[in-house]
Order: sequence, then structure tokens, then C-alpha cells
Amino acid sequence: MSIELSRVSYTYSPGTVFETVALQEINLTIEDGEYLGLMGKTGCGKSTLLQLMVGLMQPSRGQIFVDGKDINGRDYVRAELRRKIGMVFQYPEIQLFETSVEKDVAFGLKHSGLSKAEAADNVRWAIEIVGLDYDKIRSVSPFSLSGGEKRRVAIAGILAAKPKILILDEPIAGLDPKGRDAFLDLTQKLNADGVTIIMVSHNADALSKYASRIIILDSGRLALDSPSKDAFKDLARLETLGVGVSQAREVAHLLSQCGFQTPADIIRYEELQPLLLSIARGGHL
Amino acid sequence: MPIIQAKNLSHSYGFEGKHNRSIEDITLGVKKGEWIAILGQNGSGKTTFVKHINALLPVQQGELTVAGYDATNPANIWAIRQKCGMVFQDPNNQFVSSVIEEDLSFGLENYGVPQSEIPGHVKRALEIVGMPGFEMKSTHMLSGGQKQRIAIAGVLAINPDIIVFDEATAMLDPEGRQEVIGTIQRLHAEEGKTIIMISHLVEEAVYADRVVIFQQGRLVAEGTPEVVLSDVALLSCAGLKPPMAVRAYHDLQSAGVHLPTIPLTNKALVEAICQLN
Repeated sequence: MSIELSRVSYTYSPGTVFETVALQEINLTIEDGEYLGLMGKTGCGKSTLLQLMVGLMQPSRGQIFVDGKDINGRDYVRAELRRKIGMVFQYPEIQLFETSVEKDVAFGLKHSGLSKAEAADNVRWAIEIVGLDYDKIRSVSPFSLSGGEKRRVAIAGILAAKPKILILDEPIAGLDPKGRDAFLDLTQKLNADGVTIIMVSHNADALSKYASRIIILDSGRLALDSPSKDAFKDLARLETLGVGVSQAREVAHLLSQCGFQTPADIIRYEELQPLLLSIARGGHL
Repeated sequence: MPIIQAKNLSHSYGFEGKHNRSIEDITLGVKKGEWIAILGQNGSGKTTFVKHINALLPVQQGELTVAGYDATNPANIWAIRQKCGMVFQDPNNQFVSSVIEEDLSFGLENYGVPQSEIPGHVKRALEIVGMPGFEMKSTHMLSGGQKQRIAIAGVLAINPDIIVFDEATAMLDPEGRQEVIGTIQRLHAEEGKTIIMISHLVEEAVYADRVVIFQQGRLVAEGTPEVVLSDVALLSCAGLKPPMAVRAYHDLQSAGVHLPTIPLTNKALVEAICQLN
């Protein structure tokens, strides 16, 4: 058991005219090693949920357990949570501040208890795993890099602590297609190494390809929780939830409107392609 | 006479004593009322180029005229900024006030528009972005798409001829993205605005009159969406990916199925396949 939310609610500015209920009665269990996609309209409560999971805010009601321990309990040691969970905020590159890439990536390890040599190993590993050349980039100012490179340096700073759970809030917004793929492949690689990935994104193509489970929030409530294969079947419902579908799912749907029978669980191009071929060759009803 | 004419435009950023060429030798003419989509990898110089168009960056080398003004002459900076507005990526970073009317009035006040005329401009700008009556609302109560439309309204209040969008939909959910794209389409079709749009989504570039591709600071290709977005080799060389429909077209072709034209959108792909049967 990795993260468990039990009847979690959150209200902003309670008792004032600005009182806003952001989350209501969320029950959710995320197992170790999952790759979870979190979707929903702007303002549906996604970011609030993430901030509660990493302990930046406390729920108004309900409890959050990480590895079986209540993270808001009296005797819980927060340092344990910080070690386990790495959080990448939207536009993490705005948090870069050091004079060199190496120093910036190493900053979070200062009080980690790692020896100098261990920390240096972690920093090198983190810079390399995000696809940068350690020897070339280590002493460069992070501010002289391009946008895509800055983001990778910022993420390396999170990965250097080797978190068990990685939480990402819209990590691919603003990246170009190659940068997007490279970044998503990185999350897949980390996931294969046992890191739990929780990713907020509006990009249905990305989540269809990489996530194994999809969760959709709607006005602070859990509206959908299912394997990604089944998550994108009901297009009318997804539209009311303000969630898009992958291109492959869209094409399959358009084909079904033309009278072809297409399975509703096609969400990736690799699944669509054989169907397109068989329809184009006229061998499909 | 093109509304934007860049000739051999180059720009370098200086860091730590080294100079990195960000754009090199860019020559591009844009006709009044045209919609240009600029594609390219991160760091390819797209933003550096468009920042010249509303004089956020001075011309270092080369020539640039915007709406008849010579951008190399510093005296023209304010005139150029009035003719060319810019909408950025993050909707939250573009507000100067928490009340929409005050936010939209800000630019007008800076240009010395008489107080009595300001509410009229604000009202009209809100109507164009499809948010009439939002004057007294608070900016932080808006959705992402609404925030970007208010940012567009702030630009429109000054009535520019050219509007530059620098990845203005990147942070939005599908609904917000649709709202902003719909607004851009209206600005182009009904208001006759010249649109320069940077995007990482080839699906958005399909709406443009012309697509321009940047690679390592150079303009490497330009043409209609039909020509540029179907050129897989060119796109891949520039670090981009074709629309899924184009990929499907080529996969069908190599399997011996020929569609009459290369579809750019999913709708066009499905229509072409349905016609085969």
C-alpha cells in the first residue's frame, strides 16, 4: 500500500465569503508501482489533491496515509514523507536559482544525510537520466539553458533524492513534441524501476499511452477511476467532465459514426492502425 | 506592402562572456490579415523572433518593419507596441489588477486614452472575446480559458492590427483550449487581425494560412499547412511530429492503400477512408 486517502475533503477560506469547497469525500488507494493519470477541468481540485498528498496542506476532514502512516498524525515525522515523495510543480524551471546546474541539482540533498560521495553519485545519475550530458552541463549556469533543458535540470533536482513516489503537475505543458516524448519515456523508465508515478495532465494522448489507471475529478468529487483502457469509452460523459480523449480514440469514434464497428477501448495509435487498414481494405463491417 | 517584413534578422543573447546566436538570418513577410503558425523545438528561436515583432527585443542585426514602422529606430517602439499585442503562455502572469475592468483599462490609461472613452473600449474588447458583462468580476475567479480570453481582451482594448500568441493554449484544459482557438479564429475572420501563433500542437497549426518552421535559429520551411504538415521528413528533421492523420496516411500507403489526398485532421482521415468503401 502506497498512498491511501480516506474520506478526504478540503475547503478553502472556510467561514468567509470566499469559502470554496475544493474536494469532497475522496476515497482513493494508490498502490506501489502504479502509473496514475489524474485528469479534470481547471478548478476541479487536481492541484489541491496533489498538495494534500505531499503534505503541503492538511485536509479539512479525512485522513491521508502513506505506507500505512497518517501523514498528519501527531507523531508523524515529515522528513520521512519528503524523502519518499518527490513533487514536480507546474513550470518547475522557475525554481532554479543556483549558479551552476550541478549545485542546483544537489541543493535538495544538503540535509539528506547522504555522504558527499553518495550525493555526488545521485546528482550525476539524475542529470544523466533526464538526458543531459553531465560533463558538459555541470558547471553551466542553469539560466543560460533553453526552456526544455531548464525543465530537465529542475526535474533532475527532484530525482536526485531518489523518491519512491513521483508526483507531476502538468509536466509536459510547453515542451516540444520530442521533449514531450523524451520526458514521458523517462517517467516510464522510472516507473519500470519501481517508482510510483502520479501525473496530472490535460494531454489525453500522453496519458492513454503511458498511464495504466485514470482518475477524473469533477467539482471536487471523484467522478471516474478505472484502468486507462476503459476510462475513455463514454465520450458523452467525458465531455461533461471536460476531459479530452486521445486522437486514436477520436478516430475510432468518428469511424463508428460512419457505420463501422469499432471497439470503444482503442486509445493508442498502435491499436488503431490495424483497424484502419482492415477498414480501408474493405474487409471490415 | 506586407504588415510585417523581416530581412536577415539575427539576434544573440550574451551569457558568461559567450554569445549564443538565437536567431540567424530570418527573412519573412506577413500580409495584413494573414494567420501564421510558427512551429519548432524548444530553443529554436521562435519566441526570440516574435519578441522583435512588438519591440520587446531591439533589432541587433538586420531589418524589420512592423505596420509601416521601422523597428530599428527606437523612437518607434511605442507605436509598434500599439500595433502589435502579445499573449503569453501563463494566464496568471498577465494580470495587472484583480478586477477585470481595471486590468483592461491599464493599457489604455498608459496610452493616454481619455478616461471617458475607456469604458467603451473595455466593453467592446469583452464582447469580442465573448465575455460581455465581466467588467466587475475578479480575475482570480476565472477558468484558465477565461483568463486567457481576458488577456486577449487586454491586448484588443488597444486595438492592435497584429496579435502574437506565444503558446497561449499550452496550460489550458481542452475546453479552455477550444475557447481560445475559437477566439483566435474570430479575430482572424471577423476582425481582420493578423495572427502570429507559436504552438507545439500541430493540430492547432492546421487552422493557419501559412506554417513556418524554425530550427536552431533558422527559418527552414514555410508553406500552407497542407504542404508543410504532410512533409514527414521535414518535420522530423526539425524535431516535430506530423498530425496523427498524416502518419496514418503513410502507414496505409505502405500497406498498399492509397488515399486521394493527405488528410491533416482526424475528420478528413475518416472521411477519406469512408469514401474508399
